Amino acid sequence: MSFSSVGTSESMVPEGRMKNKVKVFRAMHDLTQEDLARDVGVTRQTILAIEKGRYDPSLELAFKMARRFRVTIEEIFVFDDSPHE
Amino acid sequence: MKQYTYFLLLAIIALLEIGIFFWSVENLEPLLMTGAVIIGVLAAWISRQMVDDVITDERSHLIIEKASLRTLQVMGITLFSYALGGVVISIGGDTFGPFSYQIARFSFFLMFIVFLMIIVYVLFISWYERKYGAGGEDEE
Repeated sequence: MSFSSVGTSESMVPEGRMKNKVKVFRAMHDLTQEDLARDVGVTRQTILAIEKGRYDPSLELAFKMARRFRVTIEEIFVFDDSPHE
Repeated sequence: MKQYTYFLLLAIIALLEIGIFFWSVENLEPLLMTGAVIIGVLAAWISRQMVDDVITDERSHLIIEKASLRTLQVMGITLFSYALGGVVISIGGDTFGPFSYQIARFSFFLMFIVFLMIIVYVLFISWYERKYGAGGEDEE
């Protein structure tokens, strides 16, 4: 089960549609999960959950991550609206 | 304060509470136990404010919200069904044994608690609806 907290209910938005490249950006910036968690003010478990696609971050947290990596939100988070197979 | 220190403090508080509980039972001091719980919770809360690390965040809040709602639903339904069973017993008089009256009284008390829970729930819903609702006038 994945959590969606960006003003949506689980019934409205199908699960597993949000994808992210947090792990890629973290590796590019040579950051550990602990480092990133500290920088954006969350726990390491939250970073892990986001990377595994089990939790969609709030808009505020998404902005914080984007600012930390100096990119736009769209570069990290992608809404996959292609039909499921 | 580090997170581990906080957990250590919590463990010490819990041990103290257990100790006070047994002492209260032996010396029949209910007020001491009640006071100890309140002071213990306050001490835990103050310790938590002093922690520098992030202990809770939006994800943990979401988990707590969902778990609380499910707990409320499960407990509400369980208590309500038990209370209704008690009402049936009360209607049956002594048919269900000599303790029917006590069971019925307890069931009515449970029913009261369930309704109180619903009232508190509705009040909180109304409060948060105002807090997070659109408010003001609709834009045409």
